[in-house]
Amino acid sequence: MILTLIRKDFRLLRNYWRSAVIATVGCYAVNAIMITWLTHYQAVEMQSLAVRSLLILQAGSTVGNGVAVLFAALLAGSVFTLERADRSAEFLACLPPTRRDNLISKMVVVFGTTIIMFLIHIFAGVIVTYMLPYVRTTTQLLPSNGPVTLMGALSILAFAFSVAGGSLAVAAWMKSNGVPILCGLLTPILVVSFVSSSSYLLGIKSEGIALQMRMTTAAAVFGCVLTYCGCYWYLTRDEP
Amino acid sequence: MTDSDAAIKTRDLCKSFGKVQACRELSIEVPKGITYGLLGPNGAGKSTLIRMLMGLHQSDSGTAELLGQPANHHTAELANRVGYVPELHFIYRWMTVNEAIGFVSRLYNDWDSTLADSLLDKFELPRKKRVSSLSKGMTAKLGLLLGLSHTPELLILDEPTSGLDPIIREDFLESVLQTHADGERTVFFSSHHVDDVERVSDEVGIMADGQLALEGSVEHLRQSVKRVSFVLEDGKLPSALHESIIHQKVDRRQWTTTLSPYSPEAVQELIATNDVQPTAEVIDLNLEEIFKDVVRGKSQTSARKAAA
Repeated sequence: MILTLIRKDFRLLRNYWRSAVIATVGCYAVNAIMITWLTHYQAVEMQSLAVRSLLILQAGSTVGNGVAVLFAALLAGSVFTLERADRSAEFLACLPPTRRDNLISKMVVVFGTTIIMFLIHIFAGVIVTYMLPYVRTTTQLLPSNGPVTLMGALSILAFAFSVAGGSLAVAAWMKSNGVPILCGLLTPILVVSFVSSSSYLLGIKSEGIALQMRMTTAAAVFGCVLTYCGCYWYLTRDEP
Repeated sequence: MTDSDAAIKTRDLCKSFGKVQACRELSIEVPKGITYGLLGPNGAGKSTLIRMLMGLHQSDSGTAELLGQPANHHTAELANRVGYVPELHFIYRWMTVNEAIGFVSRLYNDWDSTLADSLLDKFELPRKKRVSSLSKGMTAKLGLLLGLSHTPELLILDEPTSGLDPIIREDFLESVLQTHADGERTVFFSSHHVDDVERVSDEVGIMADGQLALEGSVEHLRQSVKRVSFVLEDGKLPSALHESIIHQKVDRRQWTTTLSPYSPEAVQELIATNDVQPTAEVIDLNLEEIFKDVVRGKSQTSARKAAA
């Protein structure tokens, strides 16, 4: 039954994940075009194909992570609301799957798609990080220590989780996806504001990795709380 | 009637939307194995009742049971035993007919593919067409196919023929009767088409103003509800009413009442206590007339209460 629901939810969000696939490929394709253009027409020194490839992966990974955050908000903000907007939620409510079955299916689709998108970009970053010592280059475009660290990857995932949680929590009450998506995208600002103001009030001074850790932890906690609230409200709300 | 004999059982069910009371202490019992038609004008509370039965609305107070189980707890087991065909069909519009059938069939334990295929052929539904491009009648037929094909013990239809032309309406009801009303399974349907209800129902309930005003078989209602016409004395108005009067009208010297339950004793009492001529004309009513008088009577009562 769950598989049937997951398949249905994938089809429900087909326009979003199709766009996600195009955007993911696009992140690397656009960078490939840019770097080819720089190399051939602007005569920027790229030295070798390997360097050019790493540059494409690095830039694609960085842009891709931002795009994946956007899609986390889009998917989470739409997964409840699309069925409410066309009232197919009423049809679904009278079928055998319980509200919990529907929720499980929706969470699998939203978080599954988002995690796959992030894994692709993080993997691309990991390749750059680990291949860098083996490539001889003097270009300033590549960072000396590579773009991906464990802390960096965790930070990205935690902030994406808070974005998805924010969208889900608001979407549980809405019939259209505009406001939930916007609220989801604004959640990181809330997280940063919370950490900054609490640090100021408590007199905690931190920077560098310590600050990043605090931000990551706060984002993860916000993500957990907001996702829990979204799920709880979806399960208990008088539907539709 | 024991719990196991009742397909639907509600006790003092209340539901309000803001200041509007859609259902007021509604108690109804539908025995298993019958076709029960719920009649009522628009806004009588029929759809609210059905949506509470289907767990789509939570009641403010009171209890509702379907096949002996609480209606407000949506369980897979109960959903497998109950079929629901709403007035408006919100089947996924982006699915094709085949996809909608495939999707729904995988969710039910006892999906009857043979029945689904035969209904698909009978209704002449285009398998590859999207739900969004189906006509209203076609969508209603698809909704019925989806509601019938898991062979539920209880089929609930909420104004299923509303907005359909008479030919499709007839086909629709015939299909329900042929495939479902076999004496073992229960059909509960609401409508404001009196002739539809009269044609297919074993028992009829008339709802007005959020309450069940009358209930019984069509024949029983015809026997127990009668219109009685009196001639008032010059310049007099009816002064003493009887509790069995559900509707009355005065037109010059003609005082027309509808009595439920009708009894000759009640008529004699009205003659004795009012300034009327000693003879009364008793008129048999058909279901449509009974329905209209019940609804108008409820409106009169509500207006009187509001004025008081």
